[in-house]
Amino acid sequence: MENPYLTGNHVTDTGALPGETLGEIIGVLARTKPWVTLCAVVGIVAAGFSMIMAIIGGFLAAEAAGSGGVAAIALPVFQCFISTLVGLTYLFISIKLWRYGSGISRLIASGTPGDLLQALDRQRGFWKSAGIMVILGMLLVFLALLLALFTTPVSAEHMSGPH
Amino acid sequence: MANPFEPGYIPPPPSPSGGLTPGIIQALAGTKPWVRFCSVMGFIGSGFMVLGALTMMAGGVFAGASGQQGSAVTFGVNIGGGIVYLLIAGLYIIPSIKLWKFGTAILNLMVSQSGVHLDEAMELQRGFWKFVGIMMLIMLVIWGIMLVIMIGGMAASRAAIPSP
Repeated sequence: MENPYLTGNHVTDTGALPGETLGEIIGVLARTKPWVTLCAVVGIVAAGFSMIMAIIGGFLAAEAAGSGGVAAIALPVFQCFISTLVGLTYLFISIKLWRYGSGISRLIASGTPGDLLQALDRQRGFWKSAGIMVILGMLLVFLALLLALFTTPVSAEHMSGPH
Repeated sequence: MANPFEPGYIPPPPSPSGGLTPGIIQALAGTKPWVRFCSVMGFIGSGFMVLGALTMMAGGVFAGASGQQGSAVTFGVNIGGGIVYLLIAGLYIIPSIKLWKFGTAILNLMVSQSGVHLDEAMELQRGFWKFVGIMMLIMLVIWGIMLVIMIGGMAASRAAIPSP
C-alpha cells in the first residue's frame, strides 16, 4: 500500500513526480509557443536578408574583378563571406527554434509526458546550438583581430615603400 | 485525510495527468549550462556596450570643450550615439537577466525535483521569449519605418534632379 503521508517531493517507484499537474506546464508552454514561433520566423527572414546581401556582395565582387585588382574585390568578397556566414547561422538557429515550437504544438495536442520531454529536449538542442554559435562567433572575432594586428604593420610597411 | 488503516479504506485513484518524469529534469539540466553561458555572454556584451557608450560620450565632451570648428556637431553626435548605445545595452541586459533567472530555476528544480520549480522555470522561460518577441516586433516596425523613409528620400532626391 502506498504511504499517503509522504510529502509531494518524493519520487514514486514509477519515477513520476507527484504533486504537479502536467496541464499547468502545458498551459505555460502553450503561451510560450507564439513568441517562440515569432522569433523563429523573424530569424528565418533575417537569414534570407543576409543571403540576399551575400548575393549582392558576390555580384559586386564579380564586377570589381573585371575593373580593379585584388584590393577592389577584397571588401565585396569579405562582405559576401560574412553575410553568408551570418545567414547560415540565423537559419540553423531559427530551424532549431521552429522545431521547439513544433514540439510544443505536439505536446498541446497529446498532453503526454513523452511529448513534454521531447519539447524540452528540443529546447535544450536550441540553447546548445546558440551557445556553440556564440563560441564560434567569438573565435572568429578573435581571429579577425589577430589578422588585423598582423596585417596592418605589413600593409603599412608595403605602402610606405623602400627607404 | 482518510485513515488508511480503517477497514474499507479506498485509496484515491492515480493522477490522470501521469505526473512528470526525471527525464524531463535531465533535459532541463542539460539546458542549464548553455542558458547560463548565453546569459553571461549577454551581460559581457552589455558591459562592452556601456563602455563603448561612455567612451563615445567622453569623446563628445572633449570635442565640445576643444572649441574647434564643428565641435558642437561632434559633441551632439557623440552624446546622442552614446545614449542610443546605453539604451541598447539596457535592452540586452533585460533578456540576459531573464535567462539567468531561468537557469537558477532549473538549478532549484534539479535540487528539489519539485513540480513547483518546473512550473517556475517554464514561466521564466516564457517571460524571456515574450520579451524577445516584443523586441523583435518593435525592431521590425522600426526597420519598416526606416525603409519607408529611405525609399521616400531616394524618390525625393531623384525628383529633385532636373531632367536634361
